[in-house]
Amino acid sequence: MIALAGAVAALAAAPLFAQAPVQTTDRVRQIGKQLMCTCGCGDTAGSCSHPGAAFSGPCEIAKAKLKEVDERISRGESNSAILQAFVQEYGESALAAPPARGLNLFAYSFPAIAFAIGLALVIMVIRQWRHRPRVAPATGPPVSAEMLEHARRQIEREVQDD
Amino acid sequence: MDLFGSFALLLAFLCGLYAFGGGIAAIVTRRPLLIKSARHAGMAVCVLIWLGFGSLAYLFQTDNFSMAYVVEHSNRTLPAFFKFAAIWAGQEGSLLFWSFLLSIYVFSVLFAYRGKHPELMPYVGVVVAGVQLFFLTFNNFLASPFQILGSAAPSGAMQWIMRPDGNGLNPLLQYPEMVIHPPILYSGYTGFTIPFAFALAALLGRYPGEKWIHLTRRWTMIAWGFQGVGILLGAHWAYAVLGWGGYWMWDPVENASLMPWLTGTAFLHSVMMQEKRGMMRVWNVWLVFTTFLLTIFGTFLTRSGVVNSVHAFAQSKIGPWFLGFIGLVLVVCFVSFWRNRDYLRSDNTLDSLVSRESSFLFNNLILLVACVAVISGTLFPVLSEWVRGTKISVGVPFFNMINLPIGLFLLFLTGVGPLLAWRKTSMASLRKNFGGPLVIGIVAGVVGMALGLRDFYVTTCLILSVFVTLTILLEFYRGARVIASRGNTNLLSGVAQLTMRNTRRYGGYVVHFGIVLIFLGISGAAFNQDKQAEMPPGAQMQIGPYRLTHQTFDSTQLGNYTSERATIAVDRGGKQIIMLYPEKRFYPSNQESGTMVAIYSTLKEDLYVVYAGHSPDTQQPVIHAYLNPLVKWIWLGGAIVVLGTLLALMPNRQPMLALRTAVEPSRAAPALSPSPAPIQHYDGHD
Repeated sequence: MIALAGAVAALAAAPLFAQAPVQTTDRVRQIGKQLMCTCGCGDTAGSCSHPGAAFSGPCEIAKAKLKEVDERISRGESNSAILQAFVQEYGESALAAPPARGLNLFAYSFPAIAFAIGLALVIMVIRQWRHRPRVAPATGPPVSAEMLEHARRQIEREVQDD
Repeated sequence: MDLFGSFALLLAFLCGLYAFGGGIAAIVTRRPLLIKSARHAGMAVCVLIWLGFGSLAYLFQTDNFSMAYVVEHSNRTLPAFFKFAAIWAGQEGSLLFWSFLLSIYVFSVLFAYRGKHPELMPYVGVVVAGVQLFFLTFNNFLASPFQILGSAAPSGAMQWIMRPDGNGLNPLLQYPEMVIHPPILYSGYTGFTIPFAFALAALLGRYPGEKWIHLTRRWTMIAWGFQGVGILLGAHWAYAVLGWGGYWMWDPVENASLMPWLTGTAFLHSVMMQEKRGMMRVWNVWLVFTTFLLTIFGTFLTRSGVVNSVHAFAQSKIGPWFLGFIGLVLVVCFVSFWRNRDYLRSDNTLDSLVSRESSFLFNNLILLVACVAVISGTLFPVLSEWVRGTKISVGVPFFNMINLPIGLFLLFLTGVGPLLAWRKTSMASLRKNFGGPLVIGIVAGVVGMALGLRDFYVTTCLILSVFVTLTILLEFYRGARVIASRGNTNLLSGVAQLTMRNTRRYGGYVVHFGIVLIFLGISGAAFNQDKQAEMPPGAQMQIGPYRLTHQTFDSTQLGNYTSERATIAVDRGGKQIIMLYPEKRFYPSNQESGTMVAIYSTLKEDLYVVYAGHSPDTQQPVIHAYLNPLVKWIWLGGAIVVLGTLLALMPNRQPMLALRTAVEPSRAAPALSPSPAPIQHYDGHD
């Protein structure tokens, strides 16, 4: 609990150490993290470390993209205008997260659709389980030893905690 | 030795054919001798695969550079430790390694249950033989690691070639963690074959009751545990080696390992519904089928070149075989299910919406949605290329956006689910179990916000983490207090006794606590900082509370690489706290580089320093420093998850309760006795 309290304190204190004002270079990196690097690293231009290469920094491709972002910032363009310019130049594959329109909506909405279908299924199952006819009081022949043993096993299973 | 390995695998394939065909014949004819011989053939397959794997290991250790695979992934200067890891560095070897690990599971199952469960085991034998045959087809005919180098002599005849040295191992794999990460992750992947085989066998053989669940529970937990640890080790490897300051990139290969883990987690929870209440039988069978299919699908993604990944093996033509196998398994599963679906009917009703049963339903729903989200993001580039002709990138921002809320909802259920009672939970019980933890969790969130927390997800994660931890602690405390008061012992001993009396339940709580720590660690990423600068010796950099001074720089030839190393003094508040040695290694054999990150890790944060190399523009050494809060909590949480899994695998020390065996009722007894045999002893609580 003490350790957890420590983690909570560290988490709460973290913003105090975060750099407050966003400077131009930070803005370049921020925008760079929304643009894919195409060197094969699978990372964004803002965080490409180019594993396996002689220099573990942004590769030449990422550097060129960051430079272009920097130039556009100095021309006074907004973040969304810069991203849009990259889309026009390289297509939507330039972005790390596809814009939520057209076919891309499928990627965004598929989990929600799955959730909705799943929820409908869960509700259906619950309704089915709840409306299943319950066992009526027995009036038939006497209970056999097997039935009692079965019931005993079931009680044992159900009351044992998990 | 290369011929020995080839023949061993060929014989394994033939024995596999017999285990499969003979097994089917044994099921049809029910002849005991045939059942036994099919089982022995199945065990022989495993032993032969071990021999094949052993011979490949021998070829690596003895630098046999007449073998194409050894040439490609090893060289003379490679340490013996990494020569072993080089076995699974490429496509062919990793597929043999898959067969090898699978054969360990299969042999264990066939041996452990020999002569037992005669209605079930012949089916299990056939299913596992089928899966083994699929991989043995690769090992023998499509991706054999035993191909010999050869060239045409002037006479036109083929002659063997022995190269003087090999190309060496990929530098990214020359890291101790990489020696254990693939075996552990593959143990997870392959382990899910066992519950799949039992589920399919029980369905095909209409094996009565929940027996197959009991038989496979531990196997499933072992596979799930390996998968989880493998994922975390992979994350740690990425963190410590790739030098980009992060541990999870939502790379397709990472996602491929996460998918079966998510469905496996869902199965481990929903299986309790079947064990206790005889419910969700159809669901459980399909969850196991899906988990197994996702393990195959994951390896298809890694090996087919369908999606781009930094971890993927070279693009090859084996992809269609995997797709064919997935299709075949799907057909077999569906036909088996359709023909035997009446056998899977549930026999109980749901008494209340506020119950453990419904919480499991929601837990499963959310885990499945998380899996769907990962699949859709991973495959969307393929879909977009197919539909529009352009491959759309789906990177970290997309996955974080989709998965963060799902993850937090799961964290919430982690706290709520276990404390709901089976059948029905009263309002009084809800208040008692959740009131205090919820209030304290909210207070923690308010304190965090007062201190400057502004991120919605981080604040929610904080509230939920405190809430879940307190609910778990309260569970331990209440149970331990009862035991301590009854047995005149202290609370700590009470906790130990309580845990050992029901290892599955309390091991599960420990796992949940580990998950909480992992979530806390991940939430720290919202406050990551980093700085990159050219730092000639003497230069300084300030990041957060740390001041880094580049003292010296050296370059040495070590083993099979050249090392360039920076010596960085780290000060905090004017006091030197540690020296860090970030390193860049160059491997001449394959003309590639690798980074060795230097990390000063505390519970509060990691100072992560990368020597990036010389700047291509100015030739000055470049240092990239990151300040990553709470990363250690992720590894700590992982260790606690392992501990909890091991606890849950242990048998209970003493039974929770004992019921008197039912006695044959007298003829004069009422038709249905309203009171079952009395409970003699009960120490549990709910």
